Formats: sequence, structure tokens, C-alpha cells
Amino acid sequence: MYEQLLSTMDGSSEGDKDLAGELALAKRLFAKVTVVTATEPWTEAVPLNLTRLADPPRPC
Amino acid sequence: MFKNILIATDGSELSGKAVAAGFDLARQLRAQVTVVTVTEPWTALVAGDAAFGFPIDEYEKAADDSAARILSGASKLARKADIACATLHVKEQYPSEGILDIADKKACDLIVIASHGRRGLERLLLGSVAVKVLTHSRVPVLICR
Repeated sequence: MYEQLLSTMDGSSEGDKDLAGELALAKRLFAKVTVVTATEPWTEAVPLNLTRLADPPRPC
Repeated sequence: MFKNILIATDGSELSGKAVAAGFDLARQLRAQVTVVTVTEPWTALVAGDAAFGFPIDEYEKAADDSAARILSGASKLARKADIACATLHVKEQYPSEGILDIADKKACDLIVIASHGRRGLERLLLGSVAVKVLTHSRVPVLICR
């Protein structure tokens, strides 16, 4: 049966609720869980015409 | 946790994997299982002149026979695995709608289904039942490959 579960989170409350269910499932299955969150590339998150306004933060 | 699992099958080899996976999960979670197979309305399969060559009563008999064969196979597997399993043939509905309907009516808390992994033109023409179920389901869906 399933021994390795991948759980995805985006920080939303729905995601938190899902994680609780996934952990409960993993416990019943004696499975390991990896929790992953993904962030988009900067260029995809910011439309081209806004990239000048939304420069990535620079170190002080 | 999941207590009432719905397993959808069309009798294909890949669906067989979903049935086996659903039974495994049900055994570990001590859940009850309903196995469902859905046959489409005659009108969805036959149009125009072809309808004369494939009368509705013959289609219904073929659909009933096929569903009975699929479900008896699943029942045998369930008995072997010592799992409480009900079987259901939903007639004259599009598969994704039939599956979601039964999941609602039976208050299932997990749907297990195989994805045939169609691509390109085949996917465009035939669509994906699994994707439709996943998109519209109100409960978690386990897609087996």
C-alpha cells in the first residue's frame, strides 16, 4: 500500500485542514509524509509591464 | 478518516488496478466499499442512421451484461479480501455524472478511480472521466495510474 505521501500546502486555511486529514491518513497507513510548498518564479508572478515596479528586494 | 469509499470501474485493466487499490485502502482503514459502474445513454453512443443497426433493447442488454460481469468480478475480489462491498450499476448516465451522483447519494467520503491517461486528440474527443470527477467532486478523489 502507500508508504510515502506528498502533501502540498499553500498557507491557506483549506490547506491546513487538508494537511490534518492527510496526516491522519498517513498515521493509519503507517506512511511517511513529505509536506511541500511551491513558489512561482518571479517572472511568472509579476506581469511584464509591472516588473519595473516590482523589483525583487535588495539586500541592505 | 475515510469510512465509505466509492470505487468507480469500467472493467478495463487500469480500472482493475483502481479496484485493487481501493480494496487495499478499505481494508487498512476498515472502510465499507461501494463499487459502481456507469453505462452511458444509448443516444450518447449511437446517432443518425447507425441507430437502425444497433437497436436500443440490444444496447441495454449488452450494457446490463457488461455491468454484471464487471461487478461480479469486483464482488469476488471483495469476498477474497474480506471487505464489505456493495455493487451498483448506474444506467443511462454520463460516467462522471453517474459517479458523482452516487457519491452524493451514498454519502461516500472518498472516490477511487483510474485515469486512462489519454492525450492529444483522443483526450479531446473522449474527454477524461477522472478529470471531470476530480473537478466537480465535493469529496477527496484518489486517481490511480
